Amino acid sequence: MTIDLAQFHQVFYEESFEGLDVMESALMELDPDNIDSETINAIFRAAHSIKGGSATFGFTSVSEFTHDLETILDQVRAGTRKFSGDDVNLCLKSVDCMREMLQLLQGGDDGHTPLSMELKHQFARMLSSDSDVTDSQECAPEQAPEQDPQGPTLWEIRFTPGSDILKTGNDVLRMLRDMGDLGELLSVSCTPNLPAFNAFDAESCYLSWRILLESDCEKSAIQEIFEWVIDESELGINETEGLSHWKILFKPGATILHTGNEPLRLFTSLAELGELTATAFVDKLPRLSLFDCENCFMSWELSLVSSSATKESIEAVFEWVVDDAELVIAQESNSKPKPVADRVTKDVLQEQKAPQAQTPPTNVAAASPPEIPQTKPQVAAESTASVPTAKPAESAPKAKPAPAKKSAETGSIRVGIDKVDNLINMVGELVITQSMLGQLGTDFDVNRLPKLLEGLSQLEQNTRELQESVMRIRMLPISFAFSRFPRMVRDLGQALGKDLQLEMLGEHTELDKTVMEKIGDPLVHLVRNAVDHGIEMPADRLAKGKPANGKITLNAYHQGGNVVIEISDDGKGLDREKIIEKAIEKNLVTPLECETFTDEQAYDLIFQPGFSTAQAVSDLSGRGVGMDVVKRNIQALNGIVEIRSTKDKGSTITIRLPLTLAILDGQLVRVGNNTYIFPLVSIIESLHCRREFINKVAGGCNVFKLRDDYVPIIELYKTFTVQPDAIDMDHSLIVVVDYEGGKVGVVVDELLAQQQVVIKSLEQNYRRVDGISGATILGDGTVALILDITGIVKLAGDKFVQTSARARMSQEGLQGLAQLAS
Amino acid sequence: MAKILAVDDSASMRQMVSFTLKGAGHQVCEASDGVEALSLAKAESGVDLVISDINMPNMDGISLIKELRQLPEYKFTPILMLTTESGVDKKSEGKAAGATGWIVKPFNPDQLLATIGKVL
Repeated sequence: MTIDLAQFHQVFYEESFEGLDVMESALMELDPDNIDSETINAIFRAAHSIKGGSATFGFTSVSEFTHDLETILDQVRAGTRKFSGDDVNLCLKSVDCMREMLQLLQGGDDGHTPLSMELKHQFARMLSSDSDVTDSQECAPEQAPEQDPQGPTLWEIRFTPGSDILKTGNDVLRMLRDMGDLGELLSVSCTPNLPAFNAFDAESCYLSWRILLESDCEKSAIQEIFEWVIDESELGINETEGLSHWKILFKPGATILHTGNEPLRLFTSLAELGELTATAFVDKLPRLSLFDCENCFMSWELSLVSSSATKESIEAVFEWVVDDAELVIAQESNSKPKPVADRVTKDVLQEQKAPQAQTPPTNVAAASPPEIPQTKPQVAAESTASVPTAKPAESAPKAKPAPAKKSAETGSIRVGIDKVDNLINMVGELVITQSMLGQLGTDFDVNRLPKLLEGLSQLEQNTRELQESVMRIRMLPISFAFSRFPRMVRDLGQALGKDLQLEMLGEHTELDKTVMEKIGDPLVHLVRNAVDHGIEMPADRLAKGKPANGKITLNAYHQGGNVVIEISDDGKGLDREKIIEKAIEKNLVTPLECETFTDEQAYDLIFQPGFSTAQAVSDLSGRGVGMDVVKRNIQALNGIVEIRSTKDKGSTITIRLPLTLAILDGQLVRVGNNTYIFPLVSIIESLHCRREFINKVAGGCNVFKLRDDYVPIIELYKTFTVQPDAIDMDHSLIVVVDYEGGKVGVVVDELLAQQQVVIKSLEQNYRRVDGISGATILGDGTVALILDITGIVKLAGDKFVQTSARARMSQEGLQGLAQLAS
Repeated sequence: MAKILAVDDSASMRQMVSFTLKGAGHQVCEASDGVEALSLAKAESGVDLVISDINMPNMDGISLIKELRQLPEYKFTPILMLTTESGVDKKSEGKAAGATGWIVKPFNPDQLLATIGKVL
């Protein structure tokens, strides 16, 4: 039977990666000074499973690597090895290494890495340093390579199983059968070792066996049959070469019993010489009326297989009766007794299965078969070629590691059964509604309109619920994204010499899988920055009267239709002055602009592209490195990022994300004949546009006076060159949206409904369009484009960006600017 | 055809065992730990063979064997442990608990079938 093991690889990888996560988080929890048995067991189990799986599926690099790790863990578990903090680090490193190896394997590589080699050596050192730890490798079975090239060997096997053999589910019959597969099973005998009847325990085994096996197998093959019971049993396997086969015909005179001789005793003596089988003939039995119970009417044919018997020793047994009996003793040189394995083993089976009913089986078949025995069948025809030579399992073809497919990353998702059940329920409801509507449709008249409307509203509800259920399938708890942080914070803390504590809240908050995948990197960046730049060194903290250990908090929660993720630290906070200084130095702002900046505006500078380079930021308390990228990534998810910070108290970065990228809460707007959609999350407010509140800014774009503020405006009809209702904007509306922490007004003709829209990718269906992040199909079948705020701002051009930057200036500055423009 | 209860906390291992056994015409029920296996064993009738991993959460294989041997219908049922080569102690522990034999990991489908041939 060949099975393609590759079909299990994907599951193996998935479960191994999960196992590694388990190991990692458990290792983090582990206190080396006070090892919790449940934790270490969990770590061990995970390592054990990975090892077993990788070995089975032919990933030897991983199984060999894990073997040593497992041995160490096992020793820790058993309490024979002390575990230190360094050992925990080593194990964590191993987890990383295994992860990498598995990834390589997934990509079709052999999985060896420089790190794995190095760690293996470390393991070897750890394991060899304590020489009292015996190598756990099981000794290879004793080799008995004394195979006779001349032909089959005759093995004499003495097997006395422990009396408890039946209680472990082992069955001697099967062993005999297996031996029969190895060669010719010549003889099976059961010697009575039975206790007195009233001491008989039906569940114990009192039998033992002497077996002659003619086979060209090796001794190990026979040993293997008894492998499972060898410890409790007596087993002797000997090669018996000078074995002779004797055939004895014994027809005692009728009066043999009168001399006190008893055939049974004779046979018992004979059995001491070797293996004896006896067949009794009853052909001389008289009719019942003539039967004399004191006379013997039976005769026997006996087969004796012995290594020691001689004709003399056999004759000696019959010495007292030989005068009154017919006795033929012949040595059979070539022919062998008929293999009796089948018949005898079957008898044994019955005796074993119903031990209560067991009559002590003697080595003498005293009961006679009713049929007239035929002459000894010749077994010469049974050439050795026909002897089944079942090879032991080790010669079975080794599982070849199937060539791993080139990283066939099948994006799969594990879904709780309750979610699937819910979905099925919903579909059931939908089917009912559909059949109801169908019925209405076949035979419709106007009177049934209310019924139709009711059906439609039901359909609407079904659809919404179904949609929600489907969306929920893609939702994963945010712990998937958070799970890497304990390890990361720990490693970073160790590397930087900082004492850190990580708190994670709201890990069960669910988020769409695609959003989760994309938010991972920005989160890593933010956490890294918090550790790197936010948290001070322990000594500095103590000097400030803060506890030595810094605290990082990750918090996730739902708010409205959004997910909010906060990354907080209790470090030194952002240094406003230094940020501004840096921004001026980089020509991002002018000194004049900065004077009136609020803290938020100042902090926002770190999101500016080009705000910092790695070297420039190293002495800065800010978070410059790549923050623009972080922000861009979050915006690409239709998300928003904000910073709050207090000097010496710490900073909090808040990320607000839509729950999913598949559906959007949108505000529909109309410009001329076109419908556009704003992501609802980005809208701050909408108001009537009034001509007199609009100022033209020279060299820039228009600004709109919004209460005490000025916001730059974008006329959507210009951006997309469509015909608006009116050019004068007096009847237009302005939708004020959030742009890079500031505000932008977008001029539209009309606000339509707010609704959830299903996002269709333009790139996949058409091509990328600037200012448009996607499209959707509305109820009437028309296509509406979803606006990308950053994109339309970019379309509005550089002058807009300048205006936008200036618009952030203080009220006075802006007013001055507006006056200047007018 | 036999009815076999396969117990392993590793899904891939369970799949592989189950697939192999089914391919050989056996009927297989699966459990992911001892607790689940025990309740399955009680619920299912006529299980001919149990193949169980040793290291499992909730209830390990050794405890499972002990529990099963307490049940009249599992008194003589063959129970094979899945062990690793480092499981020498486990083997004797398993045997003391009443395990029939063991299958040494790693194994391939042919080895698995050959081994269960010893008891079925």
